[in-house]
Amino acid sequence: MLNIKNCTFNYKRKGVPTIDNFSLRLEEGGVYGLLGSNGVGKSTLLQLICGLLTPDSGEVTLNGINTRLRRPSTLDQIFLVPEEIGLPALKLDTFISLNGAFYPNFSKEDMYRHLDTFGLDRNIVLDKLSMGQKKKVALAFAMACNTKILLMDEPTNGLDIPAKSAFRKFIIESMSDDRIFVISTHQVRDVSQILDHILIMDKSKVLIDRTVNEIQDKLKFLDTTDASLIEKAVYAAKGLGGASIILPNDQGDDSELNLELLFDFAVTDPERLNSIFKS
Amino acid sequence: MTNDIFSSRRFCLFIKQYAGENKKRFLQMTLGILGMLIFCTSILPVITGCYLHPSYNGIDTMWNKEESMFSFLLFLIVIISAASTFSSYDSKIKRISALTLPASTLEKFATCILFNVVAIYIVFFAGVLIADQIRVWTAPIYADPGAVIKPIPLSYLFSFGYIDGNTDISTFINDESMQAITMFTITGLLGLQAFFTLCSAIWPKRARLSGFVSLVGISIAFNTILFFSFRLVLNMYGMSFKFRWEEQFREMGMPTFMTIFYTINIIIIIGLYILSYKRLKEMESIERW
Repeated sequence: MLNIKNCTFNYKRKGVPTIDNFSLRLEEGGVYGLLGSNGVGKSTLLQLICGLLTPDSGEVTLNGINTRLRRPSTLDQIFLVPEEIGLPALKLDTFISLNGAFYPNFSKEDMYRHLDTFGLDRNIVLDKLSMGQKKKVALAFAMACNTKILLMDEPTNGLDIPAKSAFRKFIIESMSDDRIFVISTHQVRDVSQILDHILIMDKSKVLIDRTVNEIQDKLKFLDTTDASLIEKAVYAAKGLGGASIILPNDQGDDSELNLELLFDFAVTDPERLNSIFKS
Repeated sequence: MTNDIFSSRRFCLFIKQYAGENKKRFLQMTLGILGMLIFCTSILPVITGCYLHPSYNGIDTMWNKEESMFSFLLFLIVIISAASTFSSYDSKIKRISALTLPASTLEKFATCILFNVVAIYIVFFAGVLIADQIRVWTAPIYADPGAVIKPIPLSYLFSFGYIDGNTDISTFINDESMQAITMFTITGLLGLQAFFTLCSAIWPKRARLSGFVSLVGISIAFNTILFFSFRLVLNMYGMSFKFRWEEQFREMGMPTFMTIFYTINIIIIIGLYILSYKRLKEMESIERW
């Protein structure tokens, strides 16, 4: 279990902190979507989890061990795919043989399988690749490491449509009861189908921390032109000829989660949103 | 059970990984050092004209000039290499990759030191021998027939020219003054190396520039600390401290003086490396003060 306890972090050590008294527990078997506008602290949170940043107060622990210690036994359980990928000037095979050995569960077969899925040749020199290709290599390597915790910062940035589909497929196939995936993104449409836990951040706070099932139990999402429904909605985003709305789910109806709408609602009126869940 | 502090298996893996990912830089540096040494040893006789007339004492007249040039280049190359010790951490992207690699800080630190602080001496002295031999092969092309052209003996090199072609080292090791000067130079070199390694840990991106700028201020502080440390130690042993070094030597003797000097220097050098290690341990993905 990954536990973030009362973490505060400020890049400049003064002023408004980027992460302010943040607490969160990530349980095994979950695919967490970390959503928020630019600059709210999503990448900062991921780096705190890996031990790349020292919280000004609080701590992040993995099975009771502080991740900031950066012990090898902790690091080989966590893999971070950052937003910007830097790869050395090496052939792919050389890179795999040099770096894969550090991860106990690394699988070369998985690596090549993912590369094939992404449509990449094995005979490539890494620093000659485009940004999208580097992202594919990084994702393939991250997947092949089979670490317990996989953190991905904007993983679908730079990916073409088939690659996005392959990425979603990998997440679904690779998820297991003992793994945690955290996907930080503002491209919610790319990942909305694969998330089972939603975290929305804004102004260094968590606005919502709920499972998809909990959200769908309490809220109903639909597109409608019915003015009376639009009137009753707790949140509405008007469009051409109608609106996308959120209603309280009093009847227990099924509806598909509209993450973009939920995000807008959470940012606009977080108190009302949380009062619905508390009721 | 995993050893999180140091594992020989993981250390070997990290050495392999570090060498593999930096092999281009190391190759460039090695070829650069070799090229510079060959250029200097080849061009120096031509500039100085020392082979254009016969040697009168049976000694190669280039040795003295080579020895000065090698000493200067050694200091320069060692400093540049030390300032690159933590260049794998000079950008946010590289730092994320390097810090999250599952190896301990000690393994990462030891590997960086091995390649950038220790191996540089092997590369340099191998380069010296190769460059010197090339001089010996090429100089006869333009030299006077009476000119003496011989490879520089290592004893001449390491004695700063004290042994004038005589490879008998017994004279060297019996002379306290020569030993003292040699050890003084070596500890000075190691001290500068440790200092620039620390600068590399603090400013991986601009270690050379920041290092040189801070060296001036730190040299003043360092010499002041050394001065007062020395005075304190001497007072503890009931010796008086005088500003004139000749009087100091006469009173305590050279061996005692140099032992105190080396001890203080070695403590400072070890302290600098400990600070470098601590800095690496505390390093974050961004530079934050």
